[in-house]
Amino acid sequence: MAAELRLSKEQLLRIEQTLTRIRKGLSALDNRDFEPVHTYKPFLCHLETRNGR
Amino acid sequence: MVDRTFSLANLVSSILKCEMTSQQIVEKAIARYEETVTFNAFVTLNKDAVIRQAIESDHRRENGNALSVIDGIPVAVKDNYWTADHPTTACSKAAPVIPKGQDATVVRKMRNAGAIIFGKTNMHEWAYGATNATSTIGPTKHPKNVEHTTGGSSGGSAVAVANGVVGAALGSDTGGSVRIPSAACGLVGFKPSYGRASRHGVLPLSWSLDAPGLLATSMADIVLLAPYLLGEDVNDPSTIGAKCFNPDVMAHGTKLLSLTGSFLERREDVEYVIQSCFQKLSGDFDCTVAEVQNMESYFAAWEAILHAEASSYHYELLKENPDGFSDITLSHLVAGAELLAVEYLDAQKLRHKFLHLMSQLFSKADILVLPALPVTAPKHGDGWQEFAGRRVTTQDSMTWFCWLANLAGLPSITLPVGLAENGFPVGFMMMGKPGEDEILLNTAQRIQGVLEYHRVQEVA
Repeated sequence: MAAELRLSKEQLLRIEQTLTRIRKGLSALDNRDFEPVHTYKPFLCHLETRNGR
Repeated sequence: MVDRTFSLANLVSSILKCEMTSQQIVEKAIARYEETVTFNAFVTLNKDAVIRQAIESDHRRENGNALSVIDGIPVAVKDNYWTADHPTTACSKAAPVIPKGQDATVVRKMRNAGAIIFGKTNMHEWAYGATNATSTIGPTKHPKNVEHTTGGSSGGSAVAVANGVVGAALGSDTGGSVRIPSAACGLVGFKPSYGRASRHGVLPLSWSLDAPGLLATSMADIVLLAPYLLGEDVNDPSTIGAKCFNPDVMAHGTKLLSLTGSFLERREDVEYVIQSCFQKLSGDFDCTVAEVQNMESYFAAWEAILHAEASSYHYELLKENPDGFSDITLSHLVAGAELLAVEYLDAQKLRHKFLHLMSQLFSKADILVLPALPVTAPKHGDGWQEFAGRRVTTQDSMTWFCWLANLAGLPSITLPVGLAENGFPVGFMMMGKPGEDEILLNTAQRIQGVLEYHRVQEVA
Protein backbone atom coordinates (compact mmCIF):
# COMPACT_ATOMS: atom_id res chain seq x y z
CA MET A 1 0.00 0.00 0.00
CA ALA A 2 2.73 2.48 0.99
CA ALA A 3 4.47 1.89 -2.35
CA GLU A 4 1.28 2.59 -4.38
CA LEU A 5 0.69 5.98 -2.81
CA ARG A 6 3.00 8.92 -3.28
CA LEU A 7 3.73 9.57 0.36
CA SER A 8 5.98 12.28 1.75
CA LYS A 9 9.13 11.52 3.74
CA GLU A 10 7.32 12.73 6.83
CA GLN A 11 4.42 10.35 6.24
CA LEU A 12 6.75 7.42 5.62
CA LEU A 13 8.62 8.23 8.84
CA ARG A 14 5.35 8.42 10.78
CA ILE A 15 4.25 5.04 9.39
CA GLU A 16 7.60 3.46 10.27
CA GLN A 17 7.45 4.87 13.81
CA THR A 18 3.89 3.58 14.29
CA LEU A 19 4.74 0.08 13.08
CA THR A 20 7.95 -0.03 15.14
CA ARG A 21 6.09 1.01 18.28
CA ILE A 22 3.33 -1.58 17.73
CA ARG A 23 5.79 -4.39 16.93
CA LYS A 24 7.96 -3.53 19.94
CA GLY A 25 4.93 -3.63 22.21
CA LEU A 26 3.49 -6.84 20.75
CA SER A 27 6.81 -8.66 20.97
CA ALA A 28 7.59 -7.51 24.52
CA LEU A 29 5.48 -10.37 25.88
CA ASP A 30 6.08 -14.02 24.99
CA ASN A 31 2.78 -14.94 23.34
CA ARG A 32 3.33 -18.71 23.14
CA ASP A 33 1.15 -19.33 26.18
CA PHE A 34 -1.63 -17.01 25.04
CA GLU A 35 -4.97 -18.60 24.36
CA PRO A 36 -6.15 -18.52 20.75
CA VAL A 37 -8.97 -16.07 20.24
CA HIS A 38 -11.94 -16.56 17.96
CA THR A 39 -12.49 -13.17 16.43
CA TYR A 40 -15.45 -14.43 14.40
CA LYS A 41 -18.74 -14.76 16.23
CA PRO A 42 -21.77 -15.89 14.23
CA PHE A 43 -24.24 -13.10 14.92
CA LEU A 44 -27.43 -15.01 14.23
CA CYS A 45 -28.32 -15.28 17.89
CA HIS A 46 -32.00 -14.51 17.30
CA LEU A 47 -32.21 -17.54 14.98
CA GLU A 48 -30.27 -19.90 17.22
CA THR A 49 -31.63 -22.29 19.81
CA ARG A 50 -29.50 -22.83 22.87
CA ASN A 51 -27.41 -26.02 22.58
CA GLY A 52 -29.20 -26.89 19.37
CA ARG A 53 -32.53 -27.53 21.08
CA MET B 1 -16.19 27.88 33.36
CA VAL B 2 -18.95 25.47 32.26
CA ASP B 3 -22.34 27.13 31.82
CA ARG B 4 -24.92 24.92 33.58
CA THR B 5 -27.86 27.31 33.06
CA PHE B 6 -29.02 25.16 30.18
CA SER B 7 -28.37 21.76 31.69
CA LEU B 8 -30.82 19.14 30.52
CA ALA B 9 -32.35 18.84 33.99
CA ASN B 10 -32.93 22.62 34.20
CA LEU B 11 -34.48 22.74 30.73
CA VAL B 12 -36.77 19.78 31.46
CA SER B 13 -37.85 21.49 34.68
CA SER B 14 -38.50 24.79 32.85
CA ILE B 15 -40.69 23.09 30.26
CA LEU B 16 -42.63 21.06 32.84
CA LYS B 17 -43.31 24.22 34.89
CA CYS B 18 -44.36 26.05 31.69
CA GLU B 19 -41.61 28.64 32.30
CA MET B 20 -40.26 28.16 28.78
CA THR B 21 -41.47 26.61 25.55
CA SER B 22 -39.30 24.40 23.39
CA GLN B 23 -39.25 27.16 20.76
CA GLN B 24 -37.90 29.66 23.32
CA ILE B 25 -35.25 27.15 24.42
CA VAL B 26 -34.19 26.53 20.83
CA GLU B 27 -34.11 30.25 20.01
CA LYS B 28 -31.84 30.82 23.01
CA ALA B 29 -29.66 27.91 21.87
CA ILE B 30 -29.39 29.42 18.38
CA ALA B 31 -28.48 32.81 19.88
CA ARG B 32 -25.81 31.15 22.04
CA TYR B 33 -24.56 29.24 18.99
CA GLU B 34 -24.14 32.53 17.14
CA GLU B 35 -22.33 34.17 20.09
CA THR B 36 -19.86 31.28 20.29
CA VAL B 37 -19.45 30.45 16.60
CA THR B 38 -15.71 31.28 16.70
CA PHE B 39 -15.11 28.25 18.95
CA ASN B 40 -15.84 26.10 15.89
CA ALA B 41 -18.09 23.64 17.71
CA PHE B 42 -20.54 23.05 14.85
CA VAL B 43 -20.11 21.85 11.28
CA THR B 44 -23.74 22.37 10.30
CA LEU B 45 -26.86 23.70 11.93
CA ASN B 46 -30.16 23.53 10.04
CA LYS B 47 -31.97 26.30 11.92
CA ASP B 48 -35.25 25.84 10.03
CA ALA B 49 -35.36 22.11 10.85
CA VAL B 50 -34.52 22.80 14.48
CA ILE B 51 -37.20 25.48 14.93
CA ARG B 52 -39.75 23.31 13.12
CA GLN B 53 -39.05 20.43 15.54
CA ALA B 54 -39.45 22.80 18.50
CA ILE B 55 -42.82 24.12 17.25
CA GLU B 56 -44.04 20.54 16.76
CA SER B 57 -42.91 19.68 20.28
CA ASP B 58 -44.78 22.67 21.75
CA HIS B 59 -47.95 21.60 19.92
CA ARG B 60 -47.65 18.10 21.40
CA ARG B 61 -47.28 19.51 24.91
CA GLU B 62 -50.20 21.91 24.46
CA ASN B 63 -52.35 18.92 23.50
CA GLY B 64 -51.10 16.79 26.38
CA ASN B 65 -49.25 14.45 24.02
CA ALA B 66 -45.62 14.96 25.09
CA LEU B 67 -43.59 11.97 23.99
CA SER B 68 -41.21 11.88 26.98
CA VAL B 69 -39.50 14.12 29.53
CA ILE B 70 -36.94 15.14 26.89
CA ASP B 71 -39.60 16.19 24.38
CA GLY B 72 -38.54 19.64 23.14
CA ILE B 73 -35.00 19.50 24.54
CA PRO B 74 -32.11 20.19 22.10
CA VAL B 75 -29.26 17.65 21.83
CA ALA B 76 -26.24 18.15 19.53
CA VAL B 77 -24.85 15.25 17.48
CA LYS B 78 -21.30 14.46 16.40
CA ASP B 79 -20.77 14.61 12.65
CA ASN B 80 -20.18 10.85 12.32
CA TYR B 81 -23.83 9.96 13.16
CA TRP B 82 -26.38 9.69 10.37
CA THR B 83 -29.00 12.40 10.76
CA ALA B 84 -32.06 12.77 8.54
CA ASP B 85 -32.05 16.58 8.52
CA HIS B 86 -28.31 17.39 8.49
CA PRO B 87 -25.49 16.13 6.25
CA THR B 88 -22.87 13.75 7.71
CA THR B 89 -19.26 14.34 6.65
CA ALA B 90 -17.03 12.95 9.46
CA CYS B 91 -15.21 16.28 8.93
CA SER B 92 -13.25 14.73 6.05
CA LYS B 93 -12.81 15.53 2.36
CA ALA B 94 -12.86 11.76 1.88
CA ALA B 95 -16.54 12.02 2.62
CA PRO B 96 -18.62 8.97 3.46
CA VAL B 97 -21.58 7.82 1.37
CA ILE B 98 -24.62 8.20 3.62
CA PRO B 99 -28.16 6.88 3.03
CA LYS B 100 -30.50 9.85 2.58
CA GLY B 101 -33.03 10.75 5.22
CA GLN B 102 -31.91 8.21 7.82
CA ASP B 103 -30.96 8.60 11.46
CA ALA B 104 -28.49 6.50 13.40
CA THR B 105 -30.38 4.26 15.84
CA VAL B 106 -29.47 6.37 18.90
CA VAL B 107 -30.47 9.58 17.10
CA ARG B 108 -33.75 7.97 16.00
CA LYS B 109 -34.53 6.90 19.58
CA MET B 110 -33.95 10.44 20.83
CA ARG B 111 -35.94 11.98 17.99
CA ASN B 112 -38.81 9.54 18.63
CA ALA B 113 -38.77 10.74 22.25
CA GLY B 114 -39.21 14.32 20.99
CA ALA B 115 -35.62 15.55 21.45
CA ILE B 116 -34.57 18.31 19.05
CA ILE B 117 -31.61 17.18 16.94
CA PHE B 118 -29.60 20.39 17.19
CA GLY B 119 -26.92 20.39 14.48
CA LYS B 120 -23.77 18.41 13.81
CA THR B 121 -20.63 18.97 15.83
CA ASN B 122 -17.03 19.34 14.72
CA MET B 123 -14.76 16.31 15.18
CA HIS B 124 -11.31 14.99 14.44
CA GLU B 125 -11.38 13.65 10.85
CA TRP B 126 -13.18 10.27 10.87
CA ALA B 127 -12.72 10.22 14.69
CA TYR B 128 -9.15 9.14 13.92
CA GLY B 129 -7.33 11.30 16.46
CA ALA B 130 -7.72 12.71 19.95
CA THR B 131 -6.80 16.38 19.49
CA ASN B 132 -9.51 17.70 17.11
CA ALA B 133 -6.65 19.41 15.27
CA THR B 134 -7.57 17.79 11.94
CA SER B 135 -10.97 18.72 10.52
CA THR B 136 -12.33 20.19 7.28
CA ILE B 137 -13.51 23.26 9.23
CA GLY B 138 -10.40 23.59 11.42
CA PRO B 139 -9.82 22.78 15.08
CA THR B 140 -12.27 23.33 17.91
CA LYS B 141 -11.19 25.95 20.47
CA HIS B 142 -11.16 25.49 24.23
CA PRO B 143 -13.93 27.40 26.06
CA LYS B 144 -11.49 28.63 28.72
CA ASN B 145 -8.69 29.71 26.39
CA VAL B 146 -8.94 29.56 22.60
CA GLU B 147 -5.19 28.95 22.32
CA HIS B 148 -5.72 25.49 23.81
CA THR B 149 -7.19 22.36 22.25
CA THR B 150 -10.38 20.72 23.43
CA GLY B 151 -9.14 17.19 22.96
CA GLY B 152 -11.13 14.93 20.68
CA SER B 153 -12.38 13.37 18.67
CA SER B 154 -15.78 14.55 19.97
CA GLY B 155 -14.34 18.03 20.61
CA GLY B 156 -17.21 19.90 18.97
CA SER B 157 -19.76 18.11 21.15
CA ALA B 158 -17.74 19.08 24.24
CA VAL B 159 -17.52 22.76 23.25
CA ALA B 160 -21.24 22.89 22.36
CA VAL B 161 -22.09 21.68 25.89
CA ALA B 162 -19.36 23.61 27.76
CA ASN B 163 -20.41 26.87 26.06
CA GLY B 164 -24.03 26.29 27.05
CA VAL B 165 -25.43 25.99 23.52
CA VAL B 166 -26.98 22.62 24.37
CA GLY B 167 -27.31 20.67 27.61
CA ALA B 168 -25.97 17.42 26.14
CA ALA B 169 -24.42 15.99 23.01
CA LEU B 170 -23.70 12.65 21.38
CA GLY B 171 -20.13 11.54 20.74
CA SER B 172 -18.30 8.34 19.87
CA ASP B 173 -15.42 6.68 21.72
CA THR B 174 -12.79 4.27 20.33
CA GLY B 175 -9.89 5.16 22.63
CA GLY B 176 -11.41 7.94 24.71
CA SER B 177 -13.03 10.25 22.15
CA VAL B 178 -15.98 11.03 24.44
CA ARG B 179 -14.04 11.07 27.72
CA ILE B 180 -10.97 13.01 26.50
CA PRO B 181 -12.76 16.23 25.41
CA SER B 182 -15.17 15.89 28.34
CA ALA B 183 -12.25 15.84 30.79
CA ALA B 184 -10.36 18.59 28.96
CA CYS B 185 -13.44 20.88 28.98
CA GLY B 186 -14.75 20.11 32.49
CA LEU B 187 -17.70 17.89 31.54
CA VAL B 188 -19.09 14.46 32.34
CA GLY B 189 -18.42 11.96 29.52
CA PHE B 190 -19.88 8.44 29.40
CA LYS B 191 -18.85 5.50 27.23
CA PRO B 192 -21.10 2.45 27.71
CA SER B 193 -20.02 -1.22 27.72
CA TYR B 194 -19.22 -2.72 24.34
CA GLY B 195 -22.45 -4.24 23.03
CA ARG B 196 -24.84 -2.26 25.27
CA ALA B 197 -25.42 0.59 22.80
CA SER B 198 -26.08 0.51 19.08
CA ARG B 199 -23.47 1.79 16.63
CA HIS B 200 -25.86 1.45 13.68
CA GLY B 201 -25.53 4.66 11.68
CA VAL B 202 -22.40 5.77 13.53
CA LEU B 203 -19.51 5.73 11.05
CA PRO B 204 -16.99 3.12 12.23
CA LEU B 205 -13.40 3.79 13.18
CA SER B 206 -12.54 0.37 14.67
CA TRP B 207 -15.58 -1.86 15.06
CA SER B 208 -14.36 -3.96 17.97
CA LEU B 209 -13.40 -0.86 19.99
CA ASP B 210 -16.09 1.69 19.02
CA ALA B 211 -18.91 2.84 21.29
CA PRO B 212 -21.37 5.74 21.08
CA GLY B 213 -21.42 8.01 24.13
CA LEU B 214 -22.83 11.04 25.92
CA LEU B 215 -21.38 14.39 27.02
CA ALA B 216 -23.21 16.60 29.56
CA THR B 217 -22.59 18.93 32.48
CA SER B 218 -23.84 16.60 35.21
CA MET B 219 -24.52 12.98 36.09
CA ALA B 220 -28.25 13.73 36.29
CA ASP B 221 -28.22 14.65 32.59
CA ILE B 222 -26.32 11.49 31.63
CA VAL B 223 -28.88 9.36 33.50
CA LEU B 224 -31.71 11.25 31.79
CA LEU B 225 -30.37 10.24 28.35
CA ALA B 226 -29.08 6.74 29.19
CA PRO B 227 -32.41 5.05 28.27
CA TYR B 228 -32.01 6.29 24.69
CA LEU B 229 -28.42 5.10 24.47
CA LEU B 230 -28.57 1.59 25.94
CA GLY B 231 -30.42 -1.43 24.59
CA GLU B 232 -30.65 -4.00 21.81
CA ASP B 233 -30.78 -3.04 18.14
CA VAL B 234 -31.22 -5.66 15.43
CA ASN B 235 -29.18 -3.44 13.11
CA ASP B 236 -26.08 -3.76 15.33
CA PRO B 237 -25.32 -7.45 15.96
CA SER B 238 -22.98 -6.63 18.83
CA THR B 239 -26.04 -5.52 20.84
CA ILE B 240 -28.06 -8.72 20.48
CA GLY B 241 -29.28 -9.58 23.97
CA ALA B 242 -28.29 -6.15 25.35
CA LYS B 243 -30.42 -4.94 28.25
CA CYS B 244 -32.20 -1.61 28.19
CA PHE B 245 -31.18 0.92 30.83
CA ASN B 246 -32.64 -0.19 34.13
CA PRO B 247 -33.39 2.78 36.45
CA ASP B 248 -34.39 0.37 39.23
CA VAL B 249 -30.82 -0.82 39.77
CA MET B 250 -29.85 0.83 43.05
CA ALA B 251 -26.50 -0.88 43.63
CA HIS B 252 -23.31 1.15 43.49
CA GLY B 253 -19.64 0.36 43.88
CA THR B 254 -18.01 0.70 47.27
CA LYS B 255 -14.44 -0.42 46.46
CA LEU B 256 -12.37 1.90 44.29
CA LEU B 257 -9.03 0.68 42.96
CA SER B 258 -6.59 3.28 41.67
CA LEU B 259 -4.25 1.95 38.97
CA THR B 260 -0.56 2.91 38.74
CA GLY B 261 2.57 1.61 37.05
CA SER B 262 4.80 2.09 34.05
CA PHE B 263 2.96 3.70 31.10
CA LEU B 264 0.29 4.98 33.51
CA GLU B 265 2.25 8.03 34.68
CA ARG B 266 0.64 11.45 34.96
CA ARG B 267 1.71 15.04 35.58
CA GLU B 268 2.19 16.05 39.19
CA ASP B 269 -0.51 18.72 39.30
CA VAL B 270 -3.03 16.30 37.78
CA GLU B 271 -2.11 13.64 40.33
CA TYR B 272 -2.54 16.20 43.12
CA VAL B 273 -6.17 16.81 42.11
CA ILE B 274 -6.85 13.05 41.87
CA GLN B 275 -5.29 12.38 45.27
CA SER B 276 -7.34 15.20 46.81
CA CYS B 277 -10.45 13.42 45.50
CA PHE B 278 -9.39 10.12 47.01
CA GLN B 279 -8.91 11.81 50.38
CA LYS B 280 -12.44 13.21 50.24
CA LEU B 281 -13.90 9.89 49.10
CA SER B 282 -12.06 7.75 51.66
CA GLY B 283 -14.80 8.27 54.26
CA ASP B 284 -17.47 6.78 52.00
CA PHE B 285 -15.50 4.35 49.82
CA ASP B 286 -12.84 1.70 50.31
CA CYS B 287 -9.97 3.22 48.30
CA THR B 288 -6.90 1.13 47.43
CA VAL B 289 -4.06 1.18 44.90
CA ALA B 290 -2.75 -1.51 42.53
CA GLU B 291 0.33 -1.46 40.33
CA VAL B 292 -0.26 -3.08 36.94
CA GLN B 293 2.31 -4.45 34.47
CA ASN B 294 2.82 -4.71 30.71
CA MET B 295 0.78 -1.64 29.76
CA GLU B 296 3.12 -0.90 26.85
CA SER B 297 2.20 -4.25 25.25
CA TYR B 298 -1.52 -3.87 25.84
CA PHE B 299 -1.42 -0.35 24.42
CA ALA B 300 0.31 -1.79 21.33
CA ALA B 301 -2.50 -4.35 21.03
CA TRP B 302 -5.10 -1.57 21.17
CA GLU B 303 -3.20 0.45 18.57
CA ALA B 304 -2.73 -2.56 16.23
CA ILE B 305 -6.44 -3.41 16.37
CA LEU B 306 -7.40 0.26 15.85
CA HIS B 307 -5.23 0.75 12.75
CA ALA B 308 -5.94 -2.67 11.21
CA GLU B 309 -9.72 -2.38 11.53
CA ALA B 310 -9.75 1.26 10.38
CA SER B 311 -7.66 0.35 7.32
CA SER B 312 -9.97 -2.53 6.49
CA TYR B 313 -13.01 -0.24 6.69
CA HIS B 314 -11.41 2.50 4.55
CA TYR B 315 -9.45 0.26 2.16
CA GLU B 316 -11.47 0.96 -1.01
CA LEU B 317 -11.80 4.69 -0.27
CA LEU B 318 -8.06 4.79 0.42
CA LYS B 319 -7.32 3.41 -3.05
CA GLU B 320 -9.93 5.56 -4.81
CA ASN B 321 -9.38 8.90 -3.08
CA PRO B 322 -6.23 8.92 -0.94
CA ASP B 323 -5.91 12.71 -1.29
CA GLY B 324 -9.26 13.12 0.45
CA PHE B 325 -7.68 12.10 3.75
CA SER B 326 -5.43 14.43 5.71
CA ASP B 327 -1.70 13.58 5.81
CA ILE B 328 -1.87 12.15 9.33
CA THR B 329 -5.02 10.08 8.77
CA LEU B 330 -3.52 8.72 5.56
CA SER B 331 -0.37 7.69 7.49
CA HIS B 332 -2.48 5.88 10.11
CA LEU B 333 -4.45 4.04 7.42
CA VAL B 334 -1.33 2.97 5.53
CA ALA B 335 0.27 1.78 8.78
CA GLY B 336 -2.83 -0.33 9.42
CA ALA B 337 -2.64 -1.78 5.92
CA GLU B 338 1.02 -2.69 6.44
CA LEU B 339 0.30 -4.73 9.57
CA LEU B 340 0.35 -8.50 9.03
CA ALA B 341 -2.69 -10.67 9.69
CA VAL B 342 -0.53 -12.51 12.23
CA GLU B 343 0.14 -9.25 14.07
CA TYR B 344 -3.57 -8.39 14.21
CA LEU B 345 -4.34 -11.85 15.60
CA ASP B 346 -1.50 -11.58 18.11
CA ALA B 347 -3.02 -8.27 19.22
CA GLN B 348 -6.35 -10.03 19.73
CA LYS B 349 -4.62 -12.74 21.80
CA LEU B 350 -2.97 -10.05 23.89
CA ARG B 351 -6.38 -8.48 24.32
CA HIS B 352 -7.60 -11.78 25.76
CA LYS B 353 -4.74 -11.72 28.26
CA PHE B 354 -5.65 -8.14 29.13
CA LEU B 355 -9.21 -9.30 29.90
CA HIS B 356 -7.77 -11.77 32.41
CA LEU B 357 -5.85 -8.92 34.06
CA MET B 358 -9.03 -6.84 34.26
CA SER B 359 -10.90 -9.80 35.79
CA GLN B 360 -8.22 -10.11 38.47
CA LEU B 361 -8.48 -6.40 39.27
CA PHE B 362 -12.28 -6.60 39.46
CA SER B 363 -11.95 -9.43 42.00
CA LYS B 364 -10.47 -6.79 44.34
CA ALA B 365 -12.69 -3.83 43.51
CA ASP B 366 -15.96 -2.68 41.97
CA ILE B 367 -14.57 0.31 40.11
CA LEU B 368 -11.13 0.96 38.59
CA VAL B 369 -9.91 4.56 38.72
CA LEU B 370 -7.45 6.64 36.70
CA PRO B 371 -7.25 10.29 35.69
CA ALA B 372 -8.93 10.73 32.30
CA LEU B 373 -5.80 12.50 31.03
CA PRO B 374 -2.20 12.64 32.30
CA VAL B 375 -2.07 16.36 31.43
CA THR B 376 -4.53 19.22 30.98
CA ALA B 377 -5.79 20.59 27.65
CA PRO B 378 -2.63 21.20 25.56
CA LYS B 379 -1.95 24.30 23.47
CA HIS B 380 -2.71 24.18 19.75
CA GLY B 381 0.40 23.12 17.87
CA ASP B 382 2.12 21.49 20.85
CA GLY B 383 3.32 18.22 19.33
CA TRP B 384 4.72 16.75 22.55
CA GLN B 385 3.82 16.48 26.23
CA GLU B 386 6.28 15.85 29.04
CA PHE B 387 5.30 14.35 32.39
CA ALA B 388 6.89 12.09 35.00
CA GLY B 389 10.06 11.69 32.93
CA ARG B 390 8.23 10.73 29.76
CA ARG B 391 8.05 12.61 26.47
CA VAL B 392 5.10 11.42 24.38
CA THR B 393 3.22 12.87 21.43
CA THR B 394 0.21 15.00 22.34
CA GLN B 395 -1.96 12.44 20.51
CA ASP B 396 -0.68 9.58 22.71
CA SER B 397 -0.99 11.71 25.85
CA MET B 398 -4.70 12.15 25.13
CA THR B 399 -5.41 8.41 24.88
CA TRP B 400 -2.87 7.54 27.64
CA PHE B 401 -5.47 6.04 30.02
CA CYS B 402 -8.71 5.93 28.07
CA TRP B 403 -7.84 3.03 25.71
CA LEU B 404 -8.04 0.49 28.57
CA ALA B 405 -11.84 0.63 28.67
CA ASN B 406 -12.12 0.20 24.88
CA LEU B 407 -9.72 -2.75 24.74
CA ALA B 408 -11.71 -4.55 27.45
CA GLY B 409 -15.16 -3.26 26.41
CA LEU B 410 -15.76 -1.74 29.87
CA PRO B 411 -18.24 1.02 30.68
CA SER B 412 -16.33 4.15 31.63
CA ILE B 413 -17.09 7.68 32.75
CA THR B 414 -15.14 10.81 33.54
CA LEU B 415 -16.25 13.38 36.11
CA PRO B 416 -14.85 16.92 36.41
CA VAL B 417 -13.30 17.04 39.88
CA GLY B 418 -11.24 20.20 40.04
CA LEU B 419 -8.73 22.44 38.35
CA ALA B 420 -5.00 21.92 37.95
CA GLU B 421 -2.54 24.68 38.87
CA ASN B 422 -2.95 26.22 35.41
CA GLY B 423 -6.72 26.54 35.88
CA PHE B 424 -7.68 23.83 33.39
CA PRO B 425 -10.07 21.01 34.40
CA VAL B 426 -9.03 17.54 35.57
CA GLY B 427 -11.20 14.47 34.96
CA PHE B 428 -11.61 11.54 37.37
CA MET B 429 -12.13 8.46 35.21
CA MET B 430 -13.86 5.30 36.40
CA MET B 431 -14.28 1.92 34.71
CA GLY B 432 -16.96 -0.58 35.74
CA LYS B 433 -17.49 -4.27 35.10
CA PRO B 434 -18.71 -5.07 31.58
CA GLY B 435 -22.48 -4.80 31.30
CA GLU B 436 -22.79 -3.12 34.70
CA ASP B 437 -23.33 0.36 33.30
CA GLU B 438 -26.05 1.21 35.82
CA ILE B 439 -23.73 0.41 38.74
CA LEU B 440 -21.01 2.60 37.23
CA LEU B 441 -23.49 5.46 36.77
CA ASN B 442 -24.81 5.07 40.33
CA THR B 443 -21.26 5.10 41.69
CA ALA B 444 -20.40 8.19 39.68
CA GLN B 445 -23.52 9.95 40.97
CA ARG B 446 -22.58 9.07 44.53
CA ILE B 447 -19.02 10.28 44.01
CA GLN B 448 -20.26 13.53 42.51
CA GLY B 449 -22.49 13.96 45.57
CA VAL B 450 -19.66 13.34 48.06
CA LEU B 451 -17.31 15.72 46.25
CA GLU B 452 -20.04 18.37 46.05
CA TYR B 453 -20.64 18.02 49.81
CA HIS B 454 -16.93 18.62 50.47
CA ARG B 455 -16.89 21.59 48.08
CA VAL B 456 -19.80 23.21 49.91
CA GLN B 457 -18.13 22.53 53.27
CA GLU B 458 -14.92 24.17 52.04
CA VAL B 459 -16.78 27.25 50.80
CA ALA B 460 -18.74 27.50 54.07
